[in-house]
Amino acid sequence: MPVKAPKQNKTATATVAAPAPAAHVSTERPNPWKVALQQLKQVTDLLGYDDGAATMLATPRKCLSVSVPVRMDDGRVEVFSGHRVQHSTTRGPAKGGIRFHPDVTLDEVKALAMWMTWKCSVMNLPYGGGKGGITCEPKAMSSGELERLTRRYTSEILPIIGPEKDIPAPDVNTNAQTMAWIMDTFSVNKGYTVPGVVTGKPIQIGGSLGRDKATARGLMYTVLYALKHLDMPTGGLRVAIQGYGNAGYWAAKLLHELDFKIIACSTSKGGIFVDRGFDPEAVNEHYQKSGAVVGFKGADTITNEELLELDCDILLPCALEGQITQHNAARIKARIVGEGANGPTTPEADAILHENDQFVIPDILANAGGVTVSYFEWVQSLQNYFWSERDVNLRLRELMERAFEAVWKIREQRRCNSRIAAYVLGVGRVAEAHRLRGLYP
Amino acid sequence: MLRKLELFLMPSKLDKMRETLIKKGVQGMSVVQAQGYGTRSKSRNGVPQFEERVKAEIVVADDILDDVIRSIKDLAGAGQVGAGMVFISPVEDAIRLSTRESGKSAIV
Repeated sequence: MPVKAPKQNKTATATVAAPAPAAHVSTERPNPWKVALQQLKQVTDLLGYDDGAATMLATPRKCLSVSVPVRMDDGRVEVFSGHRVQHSTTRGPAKGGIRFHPDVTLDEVKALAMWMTWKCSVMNLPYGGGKGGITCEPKAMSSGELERLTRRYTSEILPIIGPEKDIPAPDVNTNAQTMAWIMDTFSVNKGYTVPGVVTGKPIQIGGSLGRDKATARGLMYTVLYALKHLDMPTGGLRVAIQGYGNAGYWAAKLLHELDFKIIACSTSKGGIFVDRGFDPEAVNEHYQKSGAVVGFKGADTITNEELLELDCDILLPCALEGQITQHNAARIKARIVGEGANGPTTPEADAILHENDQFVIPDILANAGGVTVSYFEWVQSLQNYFWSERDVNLRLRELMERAFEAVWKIREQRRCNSRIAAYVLGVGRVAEAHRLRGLYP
Repeated sequence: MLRKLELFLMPSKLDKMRETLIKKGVQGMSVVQAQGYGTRSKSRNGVPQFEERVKAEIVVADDILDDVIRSIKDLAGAGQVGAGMVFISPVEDAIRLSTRESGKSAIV
């Protein structure tokens, strides 16, 4: 596909003018658990699994819902609702992040835990899948309140986590500091330091070099492999990125270093568009100072919905799930959609993109760099021996390439879309592990 | 950890490459004239034809490696067909015969 010529003197709004009226864009997010089950069913049907095997794969092994009472700074006690779900422990301990967000529900956590199972399996990591979350608005909470929330939540889920059982990691609105609090709470309760209980820790207490950039680095590799397979040149390709958190910002920076043109990015407060491309670092400085990317000098303001429909070569949804739906999929112009976020595309939208010959790098492959370096961190923590950042990056590249090539091969063999190919690989490995382990008793 | 970089370059890039690498702290380089073909070389009757290149070898310590690689990428004509290749491999040890120093201190 040829590189699109930059458009002169065009505003973002003009560029994204869509044939359908904006009223068609649904703001209601699809239920992620239903989406996850629908995606799985497609694959278990395709692979011809019987009902028992399909139900085993669809059912989480363990769901723990907890109430988390926290004394707020003004003296009130507020009770938050939290969950930890272990979808699978068949290939190894459960692995997955913990998110703090007002929209967290048990259904969402179950879906995210299931996606973690397939992701770890696609990457061939010795893990099952898990996820956790607390329904809260962290942006309205002080650091002290967040620490008390994290520690109490940790103590509530403490019986089911541990380096051999279930290893949490950062996710939406949680970070290295959150992991340090979890590690400390767990360790104090055990009576000795247990660095292997979480990943994404600060470097000083056993974190891995390269972990902060790992999701983005993995995403970058998958984009490069996709371009190579699709015979597309890399120079000057236009990239739009929804979300400017850990994955979005670093993806922008790494791709910019490879001469890609980053033309748009966004946060929950809205997005920006610069037709000639922008310097991701300068936008990040502006974001850190002002709390939004909107208002960056020389940029047009766009909405998150408009960003998805921009005239670009590569679209990287790196925000939340359910962003590309049947309502806007037909208006997506990018040739490659690399899912930095978990579950940004609904199954209906997937079918539309596939029909239009747009290549989706599915989330369980595209953003698996994060969990892969989490795995490296866990290995280093268990061995108390630490690798150089270069070693981490080289090993990450090797595993990403191996997984991408395996998914591509299945896609070619089965002539299916890339998400189904990734699921065939991921679900197939878990099913095989179930078969080999057998059913107790 | 020490790493060896083998650079296959267009001869016209060599002087500028030396100048830049010296600034980055690379204190030694060996160069040989080379002929070779690669995936992008011109073919005649289905046989890829040899082209004139230089092969430059340097050994650097890990702490400057990324910086050195970045400079090589910036200079070597990225995006240009036939710009060359870089191969990087670990070096177990280095020994300076005059002083019998070994490891990193032998190359700086």
